[in-house]
Amino acid sequence: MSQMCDVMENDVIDVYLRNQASGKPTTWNLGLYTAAPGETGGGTKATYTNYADVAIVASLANMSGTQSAGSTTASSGTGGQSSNNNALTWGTAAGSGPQTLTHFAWQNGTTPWMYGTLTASRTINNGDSAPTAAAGQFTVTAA
Amino acid sequence: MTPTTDPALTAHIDARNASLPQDWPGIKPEHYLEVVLRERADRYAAHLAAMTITPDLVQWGMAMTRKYGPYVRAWHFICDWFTALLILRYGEENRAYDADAVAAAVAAGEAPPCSTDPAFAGWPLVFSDADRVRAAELLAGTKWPKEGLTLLSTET
Repeated sequence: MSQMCDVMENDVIDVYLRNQASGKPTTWNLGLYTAAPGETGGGTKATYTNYADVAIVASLANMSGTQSAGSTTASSGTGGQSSNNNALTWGTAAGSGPQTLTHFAWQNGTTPWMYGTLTASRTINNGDSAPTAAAGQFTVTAA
Repeated sequence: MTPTTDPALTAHIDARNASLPQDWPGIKPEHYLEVVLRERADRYAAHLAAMTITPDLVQWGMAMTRKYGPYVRAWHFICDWFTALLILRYGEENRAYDADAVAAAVAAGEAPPCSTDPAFAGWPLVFSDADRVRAAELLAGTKWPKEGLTLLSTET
């Protein structure tokens, strides 16, 4: 699950109801946070050594259609849910810590557009392996 | 806008995180978040005390309390409705703020539009019109953030 920031709500309204060009990026940066963003943006991104956002090119190949996890064709489902088609890894083994990861955000550059809470928070200690997510683990629901 | 993450706040958070194992010897990693929430609670209270809460929002807070109870869970943190509104709108802590607007206000001898306190850079000192619209939506029960705000009555 995730919820939209004001900037994304405005973009959806302008694109679909007002026939304006979208400000959406071609590549999303999926960030992990130690404090939730808000609807106006913000939040505290993970800052431990070797952390890095995951860049995901917006495409049929990288995000599933709503019909099923792992699908790569145009959406035809009813649940309004998409998820990552490939495994994700944020940076490399932590070079500092501790930090407790609690949230994520889909960012346009560094600006959160939608965000949500991790199913389970994770504390990263110095030397811990990089956080990973298997394919299908990061879901986005538009409903 | 020049988004600026206050280095003093970053340093504050880094120092807090680094001190956890020393301040809480034997603490399990899964309990770090509880310590972080305790530390944030003090800063939320301090920031709210510095804010100007107008009478219409006082009325809103009372109405929310009558309708939903005095406290709500905002993500992991149980808090009052004003803190919940701040968290919903501006995030749990550290956020980029408009350094140009702050500099312009200071140069004009006016109050900055948001806090420049390193503990809460970016949080506003007054609620905006957009915040009021959002507050009204919450009171009406519309556009409720399913993940972000959880009524305690639904947890028990």
